[in-house]
Amino acid sequence: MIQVIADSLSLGSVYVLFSLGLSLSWSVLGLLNLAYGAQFMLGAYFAYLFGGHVHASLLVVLPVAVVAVAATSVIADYFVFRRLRVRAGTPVESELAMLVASIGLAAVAETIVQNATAGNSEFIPSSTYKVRTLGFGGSTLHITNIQLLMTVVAIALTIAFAAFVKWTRFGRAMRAAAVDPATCELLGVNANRLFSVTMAISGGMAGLAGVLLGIDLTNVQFQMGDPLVTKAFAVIIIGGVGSIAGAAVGGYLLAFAETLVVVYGPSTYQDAISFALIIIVLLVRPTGLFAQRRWQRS
Amino acid sequence: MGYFTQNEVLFQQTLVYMILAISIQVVLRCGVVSLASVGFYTLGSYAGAILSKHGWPSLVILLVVMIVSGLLGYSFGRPLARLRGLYLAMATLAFDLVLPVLLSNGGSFTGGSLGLYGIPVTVNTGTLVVVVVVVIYVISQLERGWMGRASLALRSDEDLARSMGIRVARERYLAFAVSAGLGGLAGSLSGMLFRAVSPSTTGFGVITLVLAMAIIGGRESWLGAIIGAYLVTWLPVWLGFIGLYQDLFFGLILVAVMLFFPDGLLGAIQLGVSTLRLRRKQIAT
Amino acid sequence: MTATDAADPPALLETKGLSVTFGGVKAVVGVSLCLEPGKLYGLVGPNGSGKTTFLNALSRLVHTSGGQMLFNGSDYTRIADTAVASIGISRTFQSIRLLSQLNVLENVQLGADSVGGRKRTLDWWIGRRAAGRETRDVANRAMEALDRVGLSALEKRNPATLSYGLQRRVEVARAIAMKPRLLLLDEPTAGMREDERTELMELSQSLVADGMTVLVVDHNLRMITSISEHLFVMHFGNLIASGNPHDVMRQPDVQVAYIGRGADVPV
Repeated sequence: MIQVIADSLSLGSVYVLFSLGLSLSWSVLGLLNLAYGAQFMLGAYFAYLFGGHVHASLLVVLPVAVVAVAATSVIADYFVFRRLRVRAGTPVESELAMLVASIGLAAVAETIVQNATAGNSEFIPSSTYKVRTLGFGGSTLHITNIQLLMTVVAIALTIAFAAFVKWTRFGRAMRAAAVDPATCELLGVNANRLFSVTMAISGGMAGLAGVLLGIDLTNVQFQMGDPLVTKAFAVIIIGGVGSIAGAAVGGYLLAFAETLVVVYGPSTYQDAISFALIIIVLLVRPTGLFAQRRWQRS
Repeated sequence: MGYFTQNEVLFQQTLVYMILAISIQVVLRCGVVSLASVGFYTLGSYAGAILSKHGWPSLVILLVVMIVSGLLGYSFGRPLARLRGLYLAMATLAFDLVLPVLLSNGGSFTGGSLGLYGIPVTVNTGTLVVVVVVVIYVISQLERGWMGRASLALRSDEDLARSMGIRVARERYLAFAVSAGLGGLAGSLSGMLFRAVSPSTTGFGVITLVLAMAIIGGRESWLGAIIGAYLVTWLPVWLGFIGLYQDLFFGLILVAVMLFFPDGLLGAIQLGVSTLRLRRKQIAT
Repeated sequence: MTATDAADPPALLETKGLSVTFGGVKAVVGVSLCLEPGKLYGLVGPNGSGKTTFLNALSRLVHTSGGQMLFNGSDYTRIADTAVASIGISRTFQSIRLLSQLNVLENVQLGADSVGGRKRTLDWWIGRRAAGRETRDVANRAMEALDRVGLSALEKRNPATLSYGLQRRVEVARAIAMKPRLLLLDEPTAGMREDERTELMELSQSLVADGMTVLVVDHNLRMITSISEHLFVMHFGNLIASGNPHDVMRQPDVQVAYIGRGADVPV
């Protein structure tokens, strides 16, 4: 059981980080980024590329990967999402347009990697980034150093992010934009710059989660990010869109449930949990546990 | 005629996809962002396969699957209809994605992750064409008159629709039900035509394709869905060289359409026609 | 109205202590008024006085936090917003809400549909002949409404190509195609030229002459006071005056409300 908790801690930390990034672009930009899984995968792929072909340490690879994936977000926003946002029409229409566009972009990214890897799973051997297993309490508890890193980084970042959003001017601007974009413009907030930075942060989080989890799972496959988006969605709606605390609770809860299923139950149902959760929560309590914004019913 | 028989399977696939594309278009038109019909497509294909293995007559299967899908869609639609655009999209996406997991774990009944093989072909192309024509007729009637106007209002300006007395919630779950029914119908047809069914008929790849069909042609009308289905099925054939990059190609098309032709091909054509008409009037006066 | 009614015909619309509060803001505070059938009413007040919120409450677009609304004597305070059209109330909005995918006539038909035009699909298929007649009725009613506002020549036009004033008139046509007993006009003349404004006001007067009750909310005091038979004034959510337009405008608290806020005051 201790092992289960430890495993769900590290898995949950990644889920939380990943979900925060998705929640960010959703609440501030109205973008439900279905390419987020592909961005995650790009982070992992980066780790594979650098590790396998250019021997570099995690200290270098990590920030580079994060910046690279963040860049993809900014570029996608500049060329695609920004133009779809300003299009006249109901918000549902522009959100739908951005959703569809993100699906298209996901297909582009995944197909490129698919062809580069010939559709295979690529292996990141644990020696590349010096992944070691640490034992505690004799042999009852095994954690890898990467799992420790994941947990620490994710928790630290989540707290930092929460502080950022709450106390800095920029963070307040983000929150304001999430609630009322029009007024923001009037108040002189440069919306485009705000959105670009938000996208960069969002993409960076995906990249970070990708590198860490990719190394932990030791393999990279072009579709590895797909189930994650739905899981992130489950986490977000459990906790409520825009709520950091909610994402934290949701992320660890989901990881715990999944770990239990993998260890004690039919492991093939692991992914199904999040799907089922989404449907149940949306039907029963769509506002989530910690909803920040007033619920907008259709 | 030789051309048709050579490519018969492809034509059949196109026709089936036409129904599936219409099922997405019919909801998008009302502003309901539901992808659930893809899931019903898969369920319908399994139902069609299993029931025809048990010797049920094909027309009965078609009707039963369509009606049951419609009823299920109606009952899911009622609670889901209150959800705002993105949430509904994700809920239906989750439904579509949970199905392969459930179907893969269905043991010998569903054939596990490989699906079912060796299903007798109990529908011919002629029946398929008739079904498609009937579907088109019914849907085209739903796009006319007060129903057409109401669904447009529903999509473009919900408050306006409400003040015009349009029962917004009811229209939404009716659209949802019709979409589910059509998805199931398309699925049962495919189950009885293509000899095999598998859980992979729903998943991100298929969803991308079907969305592309509904959007490329233009989601204002069934004609757009038909055009989209035809293009999406045949472009990879005409452009054989894209081969492995098929999904990338469609991904780019989706993005391009969203950016430059939000109303799809049909919308672009209509825009062209009305611009020409305006130009002609200006020249005339 | 039955023979057993009292000598006074019941008011068409009556509100008793109507209040609307959202998020701590008291937009409408205890407004009680009566609208008699067949008259032209004006509702004015400086910015933020709650006029539009009041209209939204009357058309059930917002929830009321207190009080009652009665139409033809029956309480409709809690009916669904989609049922308002069928009891006989229709309205226009401050912003133009025409659908550009439909032509002018079709936009007006959207209004005509709301009165019995939306038969269920099953009825349509079963009683095709009856449904056909119904469809013709709707089309006729829409044409009549368009005619009434003098725009029948524009039936095939795309509303996006029309001037602001004409678009407004199409909206009025749509509202009257709903055959309402009570028509609510929300800032109908904002942004219009003087001649367009006069045309619209004359239209309102002729509608009232035909038996409709019209309530116009507007900022243009000069125009409202000249055409309305009865004027209401709101300020900070309260109804501060009600009566003959010229008398009301001369009331000291009304003057203070306007001069104090620097709004448009009649000459």
